[in-house]
Amino acid sequence: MMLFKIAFRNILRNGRRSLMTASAIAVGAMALILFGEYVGYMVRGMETGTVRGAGHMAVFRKGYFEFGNGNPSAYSISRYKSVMTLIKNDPVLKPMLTVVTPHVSLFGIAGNFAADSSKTFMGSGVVPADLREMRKWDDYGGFGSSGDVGLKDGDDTHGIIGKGLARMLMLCEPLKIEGCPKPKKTVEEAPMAGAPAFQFSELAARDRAPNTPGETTSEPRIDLLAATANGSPNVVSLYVTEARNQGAKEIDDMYVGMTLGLAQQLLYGRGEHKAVSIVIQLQHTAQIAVAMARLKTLFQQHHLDLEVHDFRELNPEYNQVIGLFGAIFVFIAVIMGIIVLFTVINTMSMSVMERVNEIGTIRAMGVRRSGVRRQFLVEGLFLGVIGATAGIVLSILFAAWFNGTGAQWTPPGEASPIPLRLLATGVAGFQCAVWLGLVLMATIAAYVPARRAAAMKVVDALRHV
Amino acid sequence: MLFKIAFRNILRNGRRTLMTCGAIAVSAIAVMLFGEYQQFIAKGVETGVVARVGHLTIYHEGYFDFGAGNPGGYSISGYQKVMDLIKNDSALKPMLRVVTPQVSMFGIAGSSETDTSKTFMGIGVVPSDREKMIHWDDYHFYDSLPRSVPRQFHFGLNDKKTDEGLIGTGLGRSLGLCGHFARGDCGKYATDGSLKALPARAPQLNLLAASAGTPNIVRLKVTELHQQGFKDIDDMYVGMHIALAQQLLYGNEEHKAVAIVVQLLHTADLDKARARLNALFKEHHLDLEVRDFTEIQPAYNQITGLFNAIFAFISVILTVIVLFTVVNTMSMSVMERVNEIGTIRAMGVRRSGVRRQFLVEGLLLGIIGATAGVALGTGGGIWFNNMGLTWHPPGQAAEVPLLVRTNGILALQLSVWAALVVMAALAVLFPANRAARMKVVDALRHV
Amino acid sequence: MRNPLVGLGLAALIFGAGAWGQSLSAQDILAGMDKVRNPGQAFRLNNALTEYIRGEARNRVTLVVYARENKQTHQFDNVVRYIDPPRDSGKMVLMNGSNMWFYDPSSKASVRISPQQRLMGQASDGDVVTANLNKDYTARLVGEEKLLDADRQNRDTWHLDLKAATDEAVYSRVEFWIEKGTFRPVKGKFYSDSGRLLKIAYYHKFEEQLGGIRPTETIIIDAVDENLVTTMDNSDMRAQEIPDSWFQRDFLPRLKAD
Repeated sequence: MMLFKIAFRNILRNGRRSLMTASAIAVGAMALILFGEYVGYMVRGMETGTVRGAGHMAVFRKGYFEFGNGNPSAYSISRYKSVMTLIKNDPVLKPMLTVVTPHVSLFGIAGNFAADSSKTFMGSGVVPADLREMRKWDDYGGFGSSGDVGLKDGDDTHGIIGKGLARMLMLCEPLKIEGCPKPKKTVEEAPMAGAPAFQFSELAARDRAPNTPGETTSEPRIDLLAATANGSPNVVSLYVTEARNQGAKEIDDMYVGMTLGLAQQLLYGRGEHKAVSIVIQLQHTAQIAVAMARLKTLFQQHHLDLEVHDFRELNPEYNQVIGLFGAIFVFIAVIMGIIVLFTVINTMSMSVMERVNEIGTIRAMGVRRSGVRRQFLVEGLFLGVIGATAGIVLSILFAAWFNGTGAQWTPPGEASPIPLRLLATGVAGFQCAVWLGLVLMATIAAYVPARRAAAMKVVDALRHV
Repeated sequence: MLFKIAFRNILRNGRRTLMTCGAIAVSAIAVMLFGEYQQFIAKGVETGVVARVGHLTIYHEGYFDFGAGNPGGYSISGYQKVMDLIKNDSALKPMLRVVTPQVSMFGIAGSSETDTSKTFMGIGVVPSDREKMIHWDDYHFYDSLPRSVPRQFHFGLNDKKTDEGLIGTGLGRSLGLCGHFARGDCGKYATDGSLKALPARAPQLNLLAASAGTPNIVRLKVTELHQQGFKDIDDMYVGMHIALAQQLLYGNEEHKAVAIVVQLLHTADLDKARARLNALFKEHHLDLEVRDFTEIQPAYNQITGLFNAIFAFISVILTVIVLFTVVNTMSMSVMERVNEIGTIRAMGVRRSGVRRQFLVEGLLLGIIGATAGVALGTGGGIWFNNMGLTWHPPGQAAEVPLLVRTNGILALQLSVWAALVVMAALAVLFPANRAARMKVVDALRHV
Repeated sequence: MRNPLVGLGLAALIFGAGAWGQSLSAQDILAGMDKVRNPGQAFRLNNALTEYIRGEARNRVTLVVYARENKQTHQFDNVVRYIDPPRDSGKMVLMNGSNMWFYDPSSKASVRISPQQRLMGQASDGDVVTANLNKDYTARLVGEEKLLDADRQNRDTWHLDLKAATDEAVYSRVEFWIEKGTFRPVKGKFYSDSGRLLKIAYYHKFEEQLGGIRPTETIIIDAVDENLVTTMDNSDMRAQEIPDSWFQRDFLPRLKAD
């Protein structure tokens, strides 16, 4: 007890030095924590964005992941509604679920034939209400909402497309997109000589449908063509309400977002309307392992030919980016750690050296070497505790201030800027770890000079200048 | 005289000098390492992209915006003449490194053994040109690699074997071709991401492509599965010799090119080269457009943007820490010598004299510390590179050496050095000022 | 050519076998029309496909079609050989049930094309059409109508509404106007599974061909891409015994045209 009292008094007595040392530790703590919160926010942000759009995992027909690419109708889930019911009612899964929703993805040709342009498209058919629900996922807090889905339940006739696709289909004006290039006429073959001229226009006009009343001709409309499972050509109309940037150029150039109903109409035609995947969103990401295991058991029990993959398997780039962040963070943390370590050792040594007289005095009074060492260790510990605590408090205040400034950034693969913040919730574990680390470092940093101080000859120490 | 005394003071206060210089040096090392790392990321990613897609790509006008699905309709006729025009132009010639044609298309790939067929995305190149391109190293990253670290250059095609090619691992798997390759489950890869076909068992792939007319089919001998960076591409990728691609896309008609890829010696010349190309095409009434690698690889801008954001944040933090460390250490060392200051003041030295004294000492310490730090920082970087660590840049399948940049960083070295010297001088100024202003009597008895 | 294979599929549409009954139910009328379009035996013919974009001829392909009824499915399997233009000469397409194979003589290689892949690229490529409408569709007589044919002649027709009866039926619904008495097809409208009109076909230039008066020209109007019209002209229809081997993918390299 005496030890702590004396250590504490010493710290107060050497006000300036204590302040220097403690602030060095505090700054180090602040830097590490703020950087960690920055990276943490980015990682959480990415995860939140992914989970909102694609859920935590998806159930497919067995073989889809390996072979189903480009051939969704052959690898679809029959009687998907009963599978969904099975999942939703399972007692183990039920408390973990937030959303279970069917999804259809398909490929085909999108055409704006009036403007003579067509392009391969990739379509995504969803249940708008479910998607809206998924976009509310905010397990980490502070990520706000993801905006409107762009589709209406029960309205299979309207949908959205990527801005790149809109440009290629010459829909810039009706959809009010800027920066549209003007197409140059491609070199067309000259009309063939000697080909019989036949008046097709009259023939074709006989069956041309008049504009049905109520159809707004100002709303841009495109045709979506695809082949159904049995090989029939199928076509549906889509009124485009909006062109939305999809982030990655490859996707933006092909994306068509529509309701599940329309996608099923197009892909399955008169056959059984199936689903290509069942998307599942959970309350917490940590529940993935348990949920997947349970699903596998369930499918085995009911002899269902299904497989399930989590969002990391479906998005290998996600892991790459996370890994990248991890690598950068470790590298930076090492650099900062070295600096902090050095600073603490430096300041502690200096303060020890400044007090050599003092050390000599107490040694002369009879304190043992071990006593001196212990003294300084405890002082180091105290300074570490004070400094680290101050650092954490300051970082909390700074983060709160920073988050209030409303800064923004645009993550890679995203279309529009999102708030740039420092992660302020759920970081308690991280803060404790940093705190402990720095306290430990300060104590160890005090040890070496303390030993050196204790090892001095009393006589020399007394007359040190 | 001033410098003599300053120098002697430095030597006399050995421990403090060491501490202070040490603090400055460590700060310098930290900033150096960070800067080298950042440079590596920035220039390293650029190197990776430029090595694969060159600096500028020339297309038929309209291809980039509209022609992706119809390469046949947007091809460059007489591309050899266009290439000669470019290569012989006096303004462009000194800037060029490689000028090479390229053909790309979408089609259906069918395995002759099984009945499976899959949509594919194909690229036809001139292998020797690509091999040259992939060795682009304007920032000399690979010079600094020790012999023991393997260079991960790999393209896998041969100028002479026009019927051989490679496909993405995902495509190979979905066509059921894994059995033909070493480690027949397609599950594990060599460190450069490729699986070579077992001798005499290279599978045959029939490729069908339609442009505006009736489709053509060519045969491809798949000698290798090569993992591509993005899954969607990996599931569709076919890389082949340009002659085969032309046969596929154009059949018996004129063999054109879909793009002409230009790689320069230095990225700094990009704007000049592009301007000259546009002028050249206008002069000769050619319907061609020029795109740079950031447009071809839009992910590039996104990735560099991401890194810049991270590094900006880190720079701020580091600056604060370094500033703090140097100021802290310097003022502590000044404060330790208040007695001394009192003494020389008592001897008659003016306040300004004291300040000057410490300024010079600060400068000297700064110079010593900064020089040591910069040198050690560079040396530390070299040592780090020799450790042979690797990482996974986004968008690449294979592991790539993780390096910090130790060449061509003169600007970094000078700026770090200068900044720290100035910081040291300034850091010493304020406490010295404060100490000088003390009443001599108080200074003398300061503890 | 925007629809290189569509025409081939529709060639198959025209040549299907059917049954001939005495009482005139809607199904009988349909069967009657099948017989007009189809010689009821294995045959070959020349086919010229011309593509018109915005009224101007842009592309022509000349083919030889070999067709034979498949004993199991009662549909016609086709082997098609390109004659013209010279750059495509020798290429072949095999349609065997719902499988389609494309063959290129310059590489002697063939690739199977799935129904989904036929839509790839700019063209909506060949739909394999049921040659035998009677087998795959249930017919309903809507009524009798006067209709202008392709040459602006008035025809008295039965108007039939066909619904797909099997999974193999390519179109979920078809409308046909068939001339009373002669059972000649005048006009057909083909609908997708979603109910949209896909194509309109007019049949004319009826001539004596292999034991019957058959339409030698079909005009196909694309109802989705309104700029596109294709015409198919048949000639030189002859009976020909076609061996089973011709319909094997591996035999294609050895197939010699006549």
